[in-house]
Amino acid sequence: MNSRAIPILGFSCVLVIALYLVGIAATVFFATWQTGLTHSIQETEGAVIALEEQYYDAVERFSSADPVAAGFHAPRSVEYVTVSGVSVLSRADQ
Amino acid sequence: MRAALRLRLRVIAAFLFFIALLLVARLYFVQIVNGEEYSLRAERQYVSASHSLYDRGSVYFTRKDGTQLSGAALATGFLVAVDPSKITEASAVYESLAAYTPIDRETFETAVAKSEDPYEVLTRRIPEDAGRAISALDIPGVIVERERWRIYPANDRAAQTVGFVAYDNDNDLAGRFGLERYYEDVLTRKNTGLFGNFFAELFANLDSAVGDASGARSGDLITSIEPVVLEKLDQVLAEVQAQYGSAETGGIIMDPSTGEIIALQTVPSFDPNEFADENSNHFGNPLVEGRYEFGSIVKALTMTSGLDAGVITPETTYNDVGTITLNNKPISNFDGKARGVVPMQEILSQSLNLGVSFIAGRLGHDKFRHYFKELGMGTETGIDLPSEISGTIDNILDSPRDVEYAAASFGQGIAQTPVDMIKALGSLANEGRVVTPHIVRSIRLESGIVKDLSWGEEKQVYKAKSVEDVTTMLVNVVDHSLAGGTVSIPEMSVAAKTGTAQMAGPGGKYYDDRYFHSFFGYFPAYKPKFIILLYTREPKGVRYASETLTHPFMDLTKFLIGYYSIPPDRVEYAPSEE
Repeated sequence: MNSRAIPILGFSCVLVIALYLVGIAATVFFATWQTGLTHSIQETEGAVIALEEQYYDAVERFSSADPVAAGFHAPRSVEYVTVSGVSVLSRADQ
Repeated sequence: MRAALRLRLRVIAAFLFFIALLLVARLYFVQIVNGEEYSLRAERQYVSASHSLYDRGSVYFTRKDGTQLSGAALATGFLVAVDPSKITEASAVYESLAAYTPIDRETFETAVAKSEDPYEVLTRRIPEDAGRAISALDIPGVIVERERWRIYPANDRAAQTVGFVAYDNDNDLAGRFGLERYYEDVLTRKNTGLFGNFFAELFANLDSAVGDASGARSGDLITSIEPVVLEKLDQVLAEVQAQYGSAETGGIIMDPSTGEIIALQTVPSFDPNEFADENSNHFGNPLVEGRYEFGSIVKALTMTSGLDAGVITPETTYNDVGTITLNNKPISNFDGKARGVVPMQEILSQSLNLGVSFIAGRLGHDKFRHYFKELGMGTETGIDLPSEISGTIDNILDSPRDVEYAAASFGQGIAQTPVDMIKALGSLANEGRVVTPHIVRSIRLESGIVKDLSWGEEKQVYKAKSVEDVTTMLVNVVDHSLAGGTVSIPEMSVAAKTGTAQMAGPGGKYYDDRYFHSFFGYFPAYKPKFIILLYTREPKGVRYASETLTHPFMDLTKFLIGYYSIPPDRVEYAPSEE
């Protein structure tokens, strides 16, 4: 056997074990991180849904509200005006 | 050399010994020090191994400003269960739990009495804060677990369209109606459990973590349904239903140029959040599963067909004698009265059956059939809803009898679904082109990419000039005939037509006292942004659609004009101040 084979094998063994341990640590770390984020997202989604339910209730209330009962009146007359043209730059001598 | 090698081997041996020592120490803590806790956790995991968190794509409505609002989503909370063998003081435990969430005492006592059962659920779907508070109590024998469930924030609005998820006989949880069912393959997702984690799966199950292609297809549905318009439509329909005691009332609002459906609803509806307590007869969607004879709104299509084929012009006249006989069957106007020589406009203004029979006669069987088939009648529309049925035009497919074509010309003897009908009528609001009605605009994939759906090419059925001529007639109907011209909007041209049809009973004989009312219209008439179709089935104490649906239609029209700030199209402008 080559005299350098044993040290190379020894270092390789240590390296593989170290990689294995780092792999486990990284997996646990990122899995915990991802789970925490997922829970956080789910809780936020739940809060958004609660707000959306309030929105639907508000839309229902507004739509069913009687404007006359709330003191509003239809306008006596309505006039429409044309939209003003966009001003253009022009030279003074033109 | 040999001494150096020996030293290195000793270093490696020492390192391995150190690692082994660490593992032994860890095992000591896991098995001896915290053994009981881990044992309990393992037991919970075993008894509720299937309790992975439910996951599914959402269905979104789209507001007019483009923001999205959930029509179907997932709510998150907790369930509380007990392991009766570990409960020592049941009464104290009950008092502790009841302080945070309502639990029926009898249910609790029954669960606690099952000492052989290690997992008895007490209550589900409790809010986040209550669940966390109970968990913090750390009561021996009380199990608090996170759970997710399907929720429909819009409740009964568009319930038949959105559908719901439920278990079937094989205990499979999947979409059962509406979009939930039609897009099951898009909405379904792998449930995420304790070990359903990407990083953990990299070691445990590399294949599924990297190679599973199902995630590439799944996502959220983004629909064109506008929640505020939907709410308005729902209220309008509910009022009609309540006022006339109808068997069913429905409506669709569509963008005629794209086929995107802005709102659709039928009443009675149901709350998909509580579907187990609702009437299952209302789960189906009559807008695609109900086939009706629509009556006089079909006259607008007959008129357009006649103009398009060149067999009539707007100036053509005919002699209306009130009643004619075709194949030994009488065909009459709604009141049986003769009008004499009248122009084409009066056919739509007075809704004259003999007028459209006259046009059908001029068209001939082949041309009449051709136009109705080109409009898609007698086939499914292709809308993205399940269980769609096709309309039926069997009476005019190969019949040699003139009476069948005359009846079809005013919407009797042929039947369509409401979606089928709005697809055909949409051609009048889209320069003669037919589009495919649809609800889902795009799919937001899990990767975040938004994929727009394509709904096929438009199909030109009528010439633009033919449609413009009919639109002018329909605007005249609103301005001068509908409710005596009192509902006309001075600054906005609105094209519309009513329809009242007799309903067929068993054996094909028409009832004398049951009617189907329909109403369609679009605006601004010459550059339409919306087409509306309304109907009510078997309204009580009223004969004509002009009485039941005119004001609901105008109410919706005015709402849409205001909500979308649609500018006037025929107002005399005041001089602007420069």
